[in-house]
Amino acid sequence: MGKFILKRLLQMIPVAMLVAFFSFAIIEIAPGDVLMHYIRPNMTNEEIEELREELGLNDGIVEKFVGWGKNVLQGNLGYSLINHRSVAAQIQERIPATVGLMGASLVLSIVVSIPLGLLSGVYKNRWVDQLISAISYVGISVPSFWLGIVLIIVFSLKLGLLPSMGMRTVGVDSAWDVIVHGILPAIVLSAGNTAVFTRYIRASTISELEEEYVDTAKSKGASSRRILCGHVIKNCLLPIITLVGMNLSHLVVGSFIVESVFSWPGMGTLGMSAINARDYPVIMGFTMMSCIILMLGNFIADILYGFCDPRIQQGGDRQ
Amino acid sequence: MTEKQELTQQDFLPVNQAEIAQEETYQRGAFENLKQSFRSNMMAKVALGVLILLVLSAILAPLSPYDPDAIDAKNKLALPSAQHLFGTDEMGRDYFTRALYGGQISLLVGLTSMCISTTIGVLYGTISGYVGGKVDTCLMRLVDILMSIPSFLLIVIINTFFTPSVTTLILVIGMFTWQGVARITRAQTLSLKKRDFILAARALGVNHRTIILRHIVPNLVNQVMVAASVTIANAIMLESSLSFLGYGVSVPTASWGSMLQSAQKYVLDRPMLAVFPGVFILLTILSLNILSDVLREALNPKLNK
Repeated sequence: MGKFILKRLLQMIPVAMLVAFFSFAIIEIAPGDVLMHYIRPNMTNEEIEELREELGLNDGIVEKFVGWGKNVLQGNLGYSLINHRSVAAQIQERIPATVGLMGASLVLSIVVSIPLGLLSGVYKNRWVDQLISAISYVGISVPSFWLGIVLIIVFSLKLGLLPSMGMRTVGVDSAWDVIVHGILPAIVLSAGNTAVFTRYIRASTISELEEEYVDTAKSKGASSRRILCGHVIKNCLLPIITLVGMNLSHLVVGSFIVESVFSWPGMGTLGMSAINARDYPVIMGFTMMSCIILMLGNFIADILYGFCDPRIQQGGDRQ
Repeated sequence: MTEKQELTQQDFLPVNQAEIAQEETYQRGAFENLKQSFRSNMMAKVALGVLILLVLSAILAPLSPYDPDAIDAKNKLALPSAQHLFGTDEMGRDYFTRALYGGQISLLVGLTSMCISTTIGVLYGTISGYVGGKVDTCLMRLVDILMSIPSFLLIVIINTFFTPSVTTLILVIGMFTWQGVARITRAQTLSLKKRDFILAARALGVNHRTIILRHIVPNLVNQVMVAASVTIANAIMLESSLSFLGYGVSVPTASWGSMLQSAQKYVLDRPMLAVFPGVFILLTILSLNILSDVLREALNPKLNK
């Protein structure tokens, strides 16, 4: 297991390098002189030159990259060009909202898709299956921002049941309030993944039901319920871990879109407003953070899968 | 091959008839299969019909009596009527006409960026698979790495460095969505290059470029078609998400995504304005997804038990 984890960690290095280069490039290519944000009107030319030297603006590209890398590793992502606050602090503030939303929607997808997928697979080609398949087709194809708007129209404007934006009611500070605000965003964010998971679980249920161990269990007189819940389900659940890993990027990207529809105060809204304002240090921090979330998520999914199915590890070691 | 082969019906036919029979079964591989699945699949027929209708309506958009960008201050936010089928938007522009022209943009972006990404993907994949060895490992590692960064994020950020226009949108989407196609074609090339006809071509001294373009690429058509249909759907989704967030097509050009963006502000008074463009996007992507599944089943019967 240790070897497997180490190997997986080593694999992450090139990805991390590419992300670092890309993020650095955002800052480097960004138009405009960074110095402009530090100059005060009463500075002399000498002082400006000193400042330029101090900020490392006269260094070569390699030196700049190394200096930037050192800062990033120490957790210093620079300062926003707009409000001059530390990028790292701003991201830190926003992360719980985004990760919470992503987690809630992931749990929702898994909880909804398992029974739907099993049902669909067991009653293959019957009306239940056709209904579920049709719904999952729509779930895959619906643009999340539009689904968000439609749900806001129905549940917030027409029925008045749920809040349409933000994470908290002003002046109210309770977990329940956050949950109520999060229902619609979580549903919208989970729609695509739920549909994808349902289709996979359906397919794996169908192929598992054709396996010989099902016949054995049947011949021993096990009830079909027991076969399904005791045997088939275990084998169907395993691919979900890989699926979650594979669909994490949908979750990350989806959360940006959903956040901007519902004005959810997470990383997505921070990043989107930074992009609108061309606030390059924040864009850089936001890109790096999203990629890190994605990389960590994939890493955890792989390790979990290795725990659940030792064949993967062995296969990985042998290569 | 030393085992006794089972006799089939073909072995009892005269030689040339057996050949004909074989040819027929071979031909059934592609188009007959496709026709068959269309005949039996109601959903596929509906999806194809809807898609044709959407494409036709986008092409025939200029037949509409209204100019999509003509502002009519007296007729702001009009309700749907016989004159304005979908009503008018916040500037009095006919919403139905705008939806049709929006379809032009969305479908155009989808199709052209698919062409770009498929071309890049096919060339990358075949070269990687054909050359093999260290080059292949390096090229594929690069694809893995690129795939671990969400292309949406890349596109949004790269777009900030350009002035947004339909052309840059097409180029950027095309250039960052080819990884899936590259993987598929590379896997296929690996198995193709060991086949006898490629060996024969090499023995005859055909150069590598001709082998790739003449012998390998034509054999990838089935897989590439399936991948391409998915790519169009993804590209349209990307375009509308980008335009919705304001990083895509800029005003006053209509695209389904940008129409939704402006409709969002009037959701209280005219919720229907937000419903129409979304329905168009949903229908397009839904029918493309259904058709790509039909294609997949018909062209790669082995994949589906």
